[in-house]
Amino acid sequence: MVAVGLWGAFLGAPAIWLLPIVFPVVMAFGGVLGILGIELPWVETGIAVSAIVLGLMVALGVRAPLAVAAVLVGAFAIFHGHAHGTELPAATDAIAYSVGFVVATGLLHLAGIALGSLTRWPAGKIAVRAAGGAIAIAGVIFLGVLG
Amino acid sequence: MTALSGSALLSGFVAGLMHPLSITAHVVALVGLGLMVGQQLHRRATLVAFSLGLILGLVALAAAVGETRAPLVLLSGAALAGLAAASGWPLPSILGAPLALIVGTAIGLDSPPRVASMAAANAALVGTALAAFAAVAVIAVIAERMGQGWPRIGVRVLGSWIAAAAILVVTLQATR
Repeated sequence: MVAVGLWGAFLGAPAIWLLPIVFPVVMAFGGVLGILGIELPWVETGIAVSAIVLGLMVALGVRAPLAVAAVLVGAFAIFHGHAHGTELPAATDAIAYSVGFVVATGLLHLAGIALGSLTRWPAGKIAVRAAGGAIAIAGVIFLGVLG
Repeated sequence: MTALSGSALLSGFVAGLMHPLSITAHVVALVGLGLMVGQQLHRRATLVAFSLGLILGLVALAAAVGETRAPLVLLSGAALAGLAAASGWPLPSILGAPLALIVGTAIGLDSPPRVASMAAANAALVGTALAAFAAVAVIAVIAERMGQGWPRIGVRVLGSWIAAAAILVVTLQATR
């Protein structure tokens, strides 16, 4: 989630504001699939890979076209949403759970965007790229734990 | 009117005021609708339709209408209002007013007063209607005053959060 915000900051407008608006809605679509019991293969792996890929995009400062960024982030949003949607039926208060995790997701995006705003300074750009690298490494560790 | 019945009326009214502001689903719907209304170019018809819906729903409730799917309808309306707010497209009144009417009716039907006397129950219904209308109007004014730029993007982000949360719960409730 933080990587989405960081990458949005790297890509600049309109990605910086489009991704945080589109992500929750696409994530909800993934959640609907989870609630309906529609199986999605390799959900946990997909989440780990999303951290690796998005972290690398930030670390390498990749300026992908908006359509490519939206499709990539959207695909990962479906994995995240599916995992949350599968957990939702067990939650005691569905609406409070849904509001909570959607708001938490959004706040992580905003945290990423705020951190990403450091890219206007040369030292900040290095810090943001380092954060992307750390996210990618965390994704690799998560993938190793899954394996 | 005795002091006791006056006190019961007041407590019923306050309970009604607090009801839509203390139920998460109602808060989600009111915020979503308020954000949508705030982005409309002509919002009077939508606000009037919302008021009519509230009155309709509360009157039906007072007439002891049976159990309804109001919570499901309420969150479906919240999802649509949230999507409209997230899109940044000023919804025309011909679409906004019916949506507001449906959400208002659903809020009314989903607000049974939990008080002892009939008079206090009526006071609670009045309180619910006032609080729900005031919430939508205030949020609409705030959303409208956000103008362009980052504050406007904040309104759209909030709209997408409302839509996402509501879509998930609607799906869950519909499949139960």
